[in-house]
Amino acid sequence: MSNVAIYGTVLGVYLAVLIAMGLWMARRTRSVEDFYIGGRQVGPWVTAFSFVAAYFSSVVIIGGGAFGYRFGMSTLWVAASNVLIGCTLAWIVLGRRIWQFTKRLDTMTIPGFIGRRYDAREAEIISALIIFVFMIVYNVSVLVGMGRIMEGLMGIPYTTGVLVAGVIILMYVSIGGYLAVVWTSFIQAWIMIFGLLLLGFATLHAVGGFTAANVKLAAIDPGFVETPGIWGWGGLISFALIVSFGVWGMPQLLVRFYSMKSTRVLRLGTILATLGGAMAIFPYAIGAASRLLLPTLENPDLAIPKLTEMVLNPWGAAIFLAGVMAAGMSTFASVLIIVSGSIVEDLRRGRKICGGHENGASKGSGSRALLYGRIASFGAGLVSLLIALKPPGLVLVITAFAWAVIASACLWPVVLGIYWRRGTRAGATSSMIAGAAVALVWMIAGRPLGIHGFIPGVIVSLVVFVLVSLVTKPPAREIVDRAWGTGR
Amino acid sequence: MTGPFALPWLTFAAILVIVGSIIGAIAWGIRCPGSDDTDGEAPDE
Repeated sequence: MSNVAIYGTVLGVYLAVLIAMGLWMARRTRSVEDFYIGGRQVGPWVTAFSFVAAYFSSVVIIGGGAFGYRFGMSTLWVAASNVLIGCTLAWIVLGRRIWQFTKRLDTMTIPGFIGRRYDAREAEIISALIIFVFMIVYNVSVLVGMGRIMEGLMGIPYTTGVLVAGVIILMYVSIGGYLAVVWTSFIQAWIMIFGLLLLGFATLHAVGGFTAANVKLAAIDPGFVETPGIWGWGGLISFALIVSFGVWGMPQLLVRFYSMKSTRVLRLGTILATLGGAMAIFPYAIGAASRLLLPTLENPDLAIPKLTEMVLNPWGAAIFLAGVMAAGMSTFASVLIIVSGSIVEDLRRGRKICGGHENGASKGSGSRALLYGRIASFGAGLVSLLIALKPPGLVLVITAFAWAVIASACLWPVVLGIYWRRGTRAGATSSMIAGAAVALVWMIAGRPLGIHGFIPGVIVSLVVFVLVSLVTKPPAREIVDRAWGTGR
Repeated sequence: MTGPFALPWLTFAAILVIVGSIIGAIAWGIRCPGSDDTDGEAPDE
């Protein structure tokens, strides 16, 4: 059996499972709440592993390997921050309160939460716009990454790869909604974990074990095993924070807490998400070790693909490729449902279309509302897909900013929204604008001091939120009581 | 000075953080507050 046939067989089975799952979940999706948050009926295993799959895109696997190749074992600290801050602490600090607040405020989206928590329509619109624009370009980057990987590893033309992956995701998301997203992500997480374990152990075997790899790396340059090593503290800390603390403001991950069937899910879910998140160690460690096998690589992004060809047999390489595709597809699908939700809930709130009502706009269950959801998902995905087919240079530049801008804008209005009663409408609105603007300008300015734009963005956003909230009128008692479930 | 796996201690600490997170998550999961199904419901109006 030729390599192409093996790759085709593995990927064909994998993609067929995704489509079947979309069709199966369509039968369980009867209302808008089902479509966007799975009717708040998702259990710990699916919540935890779909969280992990949405967290780690294919860009993280390939890019993580590239960072490991360039900077060595100090990148294990990025993996450590992914696990501790991005998974364990995120679940402990945010999970319970996000579930409670969104249930009390009767909302399905981050803009909906911000709008209701602060009784601020303008904040809802601003957050929806930021999410809409930057999530679409973020999704372009995910698709571009997948297309390049398929081209590099399998020789599939870039356009064909993007079209196949994109169209299949569009199908199962617009048909099966959130349930299809989380169930496919659940399966995809296991494929990712299996693929990374396979490549990890094959690489370790090829270099003579983890200890031997470290000894050999130190012999090349001690900076490859030291912390911060050749990366330096500024780059290491700011990158570790954007990919871990930044998660606390990322809507496609926070929505996992909305959709839990109860807070009981958090008990097992936190453990499972931490265990699943621990796979973050593989791309970095593998990338670092790959320097021993591929010492003269000009483009570090090729470290993982080249290594796959070198240490795995065709079946193993096909499974790893499916894992990399799974990483990209699960992230794309998760983002797509968020973009769609932001548009539809905001429209419904603003115009009271499709069965929404005054205090429970998100509860509408009309078939028309569901249709809007499906159309919005398909449309938003199609836009990303069309851009990804031939991405203009500007879009590729903006994709690098997307994560920083969204996290800088949304993080504090969400985190302080569930922990600080004194936070006000003006505080939240100004904080979002200031955080997004500073992150964007910092990135456009070329990351002064080698620091990622998320750091200044999130600091300015915090300062503005607190100061403006303290000098403006405290929120009305009934708004605070409603959010905290007190005072009745 | 190197620690386990021939890694400098400061780099090896990253692995300890990952292991510690897993142990911490298990401990928290066992003691997790608010584990009943109705937790977080708004009071009756």
